[in-house]
Amino acid sequence: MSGPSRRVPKKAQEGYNSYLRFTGLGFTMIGIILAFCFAGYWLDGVIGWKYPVLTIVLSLTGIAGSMVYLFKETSTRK
Amino acid sequence: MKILEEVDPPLRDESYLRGRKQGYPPPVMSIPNLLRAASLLIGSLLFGAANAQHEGHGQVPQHDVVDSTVAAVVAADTDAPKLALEEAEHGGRFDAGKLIMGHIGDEHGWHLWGHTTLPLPIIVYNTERGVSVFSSSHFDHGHKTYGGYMLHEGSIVATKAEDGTDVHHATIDEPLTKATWDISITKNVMSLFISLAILLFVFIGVAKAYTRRAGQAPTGFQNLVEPIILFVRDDVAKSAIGPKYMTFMPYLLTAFFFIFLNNLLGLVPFFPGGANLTGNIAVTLVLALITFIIVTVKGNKHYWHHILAMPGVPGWVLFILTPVEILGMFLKPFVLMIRLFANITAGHIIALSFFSLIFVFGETNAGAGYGVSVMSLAFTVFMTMLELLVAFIQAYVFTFLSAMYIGAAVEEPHHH
Repeated sequence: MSGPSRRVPKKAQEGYNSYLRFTGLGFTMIGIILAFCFAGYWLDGVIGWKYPVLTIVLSLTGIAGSMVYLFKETSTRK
Repeated sequence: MKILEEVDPPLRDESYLRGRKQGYPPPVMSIPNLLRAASLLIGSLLFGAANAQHEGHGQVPQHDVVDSTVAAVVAADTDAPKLALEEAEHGGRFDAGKLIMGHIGDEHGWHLWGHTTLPLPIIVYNTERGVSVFSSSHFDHGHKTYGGYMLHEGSIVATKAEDGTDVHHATIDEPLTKATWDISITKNVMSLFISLAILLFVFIGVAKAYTRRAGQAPTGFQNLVEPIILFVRDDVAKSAIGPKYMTFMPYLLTAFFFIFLNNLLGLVPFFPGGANLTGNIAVTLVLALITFIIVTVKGNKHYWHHILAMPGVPGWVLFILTPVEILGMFLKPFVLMIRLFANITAGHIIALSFFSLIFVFGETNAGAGYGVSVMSLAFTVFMTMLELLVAFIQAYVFTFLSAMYIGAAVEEPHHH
């Protein structure tokens, strides 16, 4: 069980761990987009406009947000 | 040839050992290695066999070959879906979906073998009726009512029917059911207690051994858990959290061993295993919630500053980034919850599906059932092996990601 730390060079081990860091990234991005979409849908319902402006605007913002999040998470940490 | 040499007694004496000491590569195909491999294989076959017996009870097609042929012809008919549905309702045909869902879900009472079920306590709180405590055996495998309650599709519902009424003649009392809170000791809760008992027994014993035999070589269970503890400390806590890792070691170790043990117990097909505890979303929810609470409570100024107003980011990006970061705060533990739940449940579904194939094919033709069982068994053995690996990997991933989130929360500010 303590094998990886002994057999695998330290650098390679860190590599595995950084892959692990990104395992939840896809789900988080989906979650962000969905959350923005639902927020827009809900707000449209509350405001009651004829045309679902906020659903469209916020879903696009959600996609942009998930991209920003992806960029932020994958950029090297200082 | 290597094997024969190994059996040869003279070769196993000192000259052989000297050879080992002088740095000759150890023989790959040695007898102990072969024995190990064989015992693993036999063990997993037994696993499979026990699984088969377990899954097969009651569902093994009762009708003979002629009947099944008739059934096959009927199935080809246009009315087949309706007929199949009717038959399924009367419990005549094998329903793989029902079997699998029954096994990955929770139940009141622990099915042991055949018609033997370990009854478990039912604890129900109703805002009108108060608390009721009785044994799940009163429900007679969900066929009877008791104490104003009965089982409907696995969950407890309220009824006004008298005790001992057949459930088909009892009606569900909707308003009363809504006022009912089921806090029974179900199969999963029982499994939780068992795993806690095992963990406490092992770790109190090990902790005592460390104080009693301080500075000496580890013995017994110490040998088993020490490498894993060191693995969690060095490769998980230290690498992900940094210098403050010691504060979080108790939680990380508890989470790791709890998940690992319950993943393994879930793979054992018979009592006291077989409950799908880490594949229960309520359990993974609580685990993820603990991580979330630790991160939120222990988060320092630096962490909150990064979430609410990321330094070095222009204002208009912050407009998007801050909501995203706040969402991420909740989504990260959410993903942690889903990952463990989905991985363990998927493993159980796949293993059970391979087994169900035997009975699905066996219903159309007995020969096909036997034929498929060979492949089915092989695949199930393979899946069980894979699940042993997954049991460890998922425990590791959960612990590591928890450690990473904690690490981000307690990280000291760097000099930009």
